[in-house]
Amino acid sequence: MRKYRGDPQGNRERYCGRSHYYCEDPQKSYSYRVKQTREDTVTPPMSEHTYSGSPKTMSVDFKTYVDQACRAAEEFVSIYYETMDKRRRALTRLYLDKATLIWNGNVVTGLDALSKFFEMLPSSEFQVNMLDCQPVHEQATQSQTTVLVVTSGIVKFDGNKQHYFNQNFLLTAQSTPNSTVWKIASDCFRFQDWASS
Amino acid sequence: MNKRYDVSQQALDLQKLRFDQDLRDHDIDMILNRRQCMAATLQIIERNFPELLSLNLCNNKLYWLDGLSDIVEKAPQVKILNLSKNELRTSTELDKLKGLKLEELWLEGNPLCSAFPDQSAYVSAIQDCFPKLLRLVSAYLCSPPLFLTYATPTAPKPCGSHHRDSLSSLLLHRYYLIYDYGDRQGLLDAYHDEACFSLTIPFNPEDPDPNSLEEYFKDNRNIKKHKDPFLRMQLLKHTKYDIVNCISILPKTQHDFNSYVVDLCVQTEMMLCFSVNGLFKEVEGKSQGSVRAFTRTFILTSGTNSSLCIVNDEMIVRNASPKETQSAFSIPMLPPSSSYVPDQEQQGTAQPFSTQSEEQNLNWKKWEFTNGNFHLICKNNFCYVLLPKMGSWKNIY
Repeated sequence: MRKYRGDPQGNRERYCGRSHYYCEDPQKSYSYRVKQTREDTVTPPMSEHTYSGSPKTMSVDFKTYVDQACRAAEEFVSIYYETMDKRRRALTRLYLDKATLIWNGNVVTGLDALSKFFEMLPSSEFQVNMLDCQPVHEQATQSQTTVLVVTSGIVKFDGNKQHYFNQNFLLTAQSTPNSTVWKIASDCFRFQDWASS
Repeated sequence: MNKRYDVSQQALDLQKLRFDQDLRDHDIDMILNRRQCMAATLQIIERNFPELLSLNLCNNKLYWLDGLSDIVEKAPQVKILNLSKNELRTSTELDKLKGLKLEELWLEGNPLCSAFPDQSAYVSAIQDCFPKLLRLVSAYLCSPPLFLTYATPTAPKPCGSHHRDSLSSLLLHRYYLIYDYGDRQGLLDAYHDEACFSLTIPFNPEDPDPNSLEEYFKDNRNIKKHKDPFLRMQLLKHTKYDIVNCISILPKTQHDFNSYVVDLCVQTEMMLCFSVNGLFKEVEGKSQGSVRAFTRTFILTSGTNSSLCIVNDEMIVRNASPKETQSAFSIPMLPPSSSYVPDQEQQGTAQPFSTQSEEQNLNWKKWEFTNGNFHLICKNNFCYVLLPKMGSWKNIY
């Protein structure tokens, strides 16, 4: 009884960061790469798989799901913060239509409000030092593949002093025939009152 | 009326009286929110059941209790009163019953339940009316009720403040009471069978004492640092047994509930996701007294019996800043002399939860909390409040 759907191959080569885009695999078509915009976090398409009654089926499934979550998280985080710093106007493309941002307690919902918010926010310089992620259980997401991503680091907004921050995201997979695009369903950001700064 | 009277309990059940078949058969329209009907009912009670102990007036569309105030004379022995699922809007209605020496009161499903700014204001108001009250049953105390009926994709409510009575606050309260004061194995029921947990320590070059967090190092999962998929897998705790075993070994803590700031991220039919930022201190071991700051993200879903269980749990822990350390525990949460001592005569003991049997009571399904003013119990997804009799606690249930 499988609870998680995941990438069947779990290939190690496709594990580290961007290199998976260039991996030789005759079965997959990478022409999609050209059509996607730079801001999309894309992973190779997911498909159903069957294991022939191996007793380890459950744990193997979970592991591949964890791997997939890690890959998505790493890709996503690098794209998100780069877009936030350097291409701020494109940032809303990473969010679902009904996504919600909670920024130091302020709730911002929907792409319009998000656009305005990110426009108003001064330009930023993010440095992410920590990243953790977990696959979210299917029961909570009603089978929509979701990853919890948690980050921490330092940010400097123009005209303000430097702040430590903790942030968490819920990323949801949107499957197209050729690929899986991850989008933000919720984003929760808080400054941390670290040392004397 | 006689058929609704239980002699052994001295209890009269007038629930939904208007729809009583017998009365309708006799063409009697007993609408209790009409003064004459209520008066007539009370007369019948006075005549036939003056020794009445328990009265159930649930679901009778009662807006006012003027008519019921005569009960103080006509059935003065009433100790248990069920007014749930009516239309009482303010607690001043209850003032009309002030002479009654009530020990148990059911109020859930009345508009007045959500009219209070917070839980303790609510409980105090009720206590003012009925000083001898021992038991208050009200779903407000878990509002929204723990039986989930979330509307589908709701925009999250404004948050980030000390919203004491939200569902997430209540869950946190419940969770951390067991975490701090009970055996953490009691949290097994809080987690889904296939839940995940992981912990991280953010990097701060300015931290003067990073090694004081060494008890957390072995579980620190930072996938920026750890590239080996096997290690990444190992550091993610999977299944509730692994999770509870892991958190049971973490240092013993005392969390400052007053420091909590909760961000509600997602609230849908099947998912509740929120993040809490707060402070705790370590209460034993090498780092005893150290104050830490944490951010914990919980994702919960509706499990068996419509009760919520945790499917994902992620914790960030770091040393608190000097400012945070100063502000921690500045508002006392448990007065020092208030210990969890049901059925005991001892007062003012410094050690809470000192006996084995008390620790065993702290599990997710059935747990208790006391703060010297009231005693909160969670059982079968309802919260009950017990108000102490002078001098000692009494276990009623």
